[in-house]
Amino acid sequence: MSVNQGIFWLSSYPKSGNTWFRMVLASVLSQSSQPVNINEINITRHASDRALFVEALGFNSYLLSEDELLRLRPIVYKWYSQKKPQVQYFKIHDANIYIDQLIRLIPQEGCLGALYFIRNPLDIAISFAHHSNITIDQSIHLMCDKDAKIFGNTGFLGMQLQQYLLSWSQHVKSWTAKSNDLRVMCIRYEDMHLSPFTTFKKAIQFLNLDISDQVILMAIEHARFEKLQHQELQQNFREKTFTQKTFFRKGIIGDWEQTLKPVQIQKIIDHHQAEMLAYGYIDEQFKPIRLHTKE
Amino acid sequence: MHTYFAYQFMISSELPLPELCSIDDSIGEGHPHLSIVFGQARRENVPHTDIQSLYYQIEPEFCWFEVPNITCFLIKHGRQIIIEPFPGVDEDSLRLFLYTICLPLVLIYHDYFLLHGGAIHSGEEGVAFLSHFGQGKSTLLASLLKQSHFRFLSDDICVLNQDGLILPGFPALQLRKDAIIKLDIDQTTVKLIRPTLQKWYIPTHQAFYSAPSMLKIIYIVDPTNRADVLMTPLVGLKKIQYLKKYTYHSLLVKGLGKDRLYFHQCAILAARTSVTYVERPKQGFRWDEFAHLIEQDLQDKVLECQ
Repeated sequence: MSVNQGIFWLSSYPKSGNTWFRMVLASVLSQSSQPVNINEINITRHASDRALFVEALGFNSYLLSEDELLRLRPIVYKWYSQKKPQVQYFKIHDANIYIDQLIRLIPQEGCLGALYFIRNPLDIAISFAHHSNITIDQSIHLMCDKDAKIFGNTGFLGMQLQQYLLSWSQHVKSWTAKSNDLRVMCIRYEDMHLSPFTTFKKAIQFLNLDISDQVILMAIEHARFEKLQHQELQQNFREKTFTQKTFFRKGIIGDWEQTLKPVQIQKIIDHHQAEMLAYGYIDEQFKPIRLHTKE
Repeated sequence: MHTYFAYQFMISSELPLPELCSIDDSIGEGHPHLSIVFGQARRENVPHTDIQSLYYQIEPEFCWFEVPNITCFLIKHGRQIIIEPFPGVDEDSLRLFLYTICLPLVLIYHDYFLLHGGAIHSGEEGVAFLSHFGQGKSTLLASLLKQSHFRFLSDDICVLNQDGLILPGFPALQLRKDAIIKLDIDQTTVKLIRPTLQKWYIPTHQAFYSAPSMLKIIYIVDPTNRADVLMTPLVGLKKIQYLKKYTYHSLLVKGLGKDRLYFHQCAILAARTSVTYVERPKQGFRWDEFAHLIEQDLQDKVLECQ
């Protein structure tokens, strides 16, 4: 398969900067002097969008169980990678799990690479709580649950298949471990804030895109958090869940310092120590690191 | 062979179809509109077509579907369905996909017009409730049937003939467990639609209306972020646009080359029906109250029709 055909995966635990990056990417690819509309990020597809599966199956995915759909997913993704003679971008929140302890969710064949967006779990806990309309303690509990799943065939049916998050640290490992066999670049949400140009440029180069610095700077400007918030004020963002007041809420780093209780901070560190240390969120004494200096 | 009647089709089938209305074998013998048999259902038997994907290939005279790890279907000339199940597959799964993929394909082939929704008979009129999968149309139908004198015509697929008559389907609704509990339905009478799906058939024999009914009133029901129920009558082109949006499985329509016919049917239907767009809250509302609102609105509309 050529480098001009296949899927680039934009993967992350929820609330880790995936949507922000997609806005920048959409702007980069459009090369327009105008900001991209938040409801027209059409350059990416969601890996759990039921419409993907209708296209492959010819019938509605609600007729299959979540287990049946999970086993189909690698086959369907491989088919999509071969279907169009072009590069495609798929957003995904699942961990790259093993299915039946045998095959990975994301097939190596047809995968051009994966950008993995990682964010301080101390901040995710707050953002995810607002996103899902749950308490911060519930959010922390979910992030520590090794069997955590979101969406799927529960109650009234949504437009997304069940997504297998696992715990936050298992999610990180599933995408970044050497055994993953995919070409992966890890991008920290905090670096997207603190060194936007350097970080976005690195990510865009990873996607094999030859884009001028001027266009990248313009895209970053168009996707500034305040501008996305402003767009959301003027129109409903269709990726917002119905329990959310707004999708683009604060978009800051270090919110945990004002919001989390010491016991909550400790619980997150206790559960995710190795990955937090590896990505610079705690120091060697297992104390949280403050990140506040901007490029 | 077993013989059944659904959507005014006489169906002979090697696979038992207990959800359908069965008829005496001697009546149907020799003259079925559709026969269902077990055999080889291979993709290579279908001529090349642009309407194909990973698991299907559709052209007007031959259609092939694979339900992964469950079964393959080959539909020939809208008259015969060949089922080739994977080893060890249960019959309920075969039936569900037969009802939701193959029967609609056969009906579209024979120029019937299919809308995605359920239907009831009220007074002298047929009433359809359209919505997409999993958005509560069966729960609404069950609530209406529980509260009142309405008669049941079909669930999930509303089949119309060229004269605009709704054809009765088969006497069963499909509901999830939460709806069964909320509506206080006798759980001893329900049956799983597939072993791997948490959804049940609810028999509706007593309320079943087995004659065609003229479609006069359509409600399009959409769960939204609103806190209350809002009903907006649709007029003009919007009616056609919405009816087009809720035609059952536009992929099958396209594959069978019926797009133009369907557009024409949408326009005719829009001209002779009342179409109301109903926005309801996604959560935090009572189905019986919602059904009551619909019932009140329906009474006014039925009077207008008379």
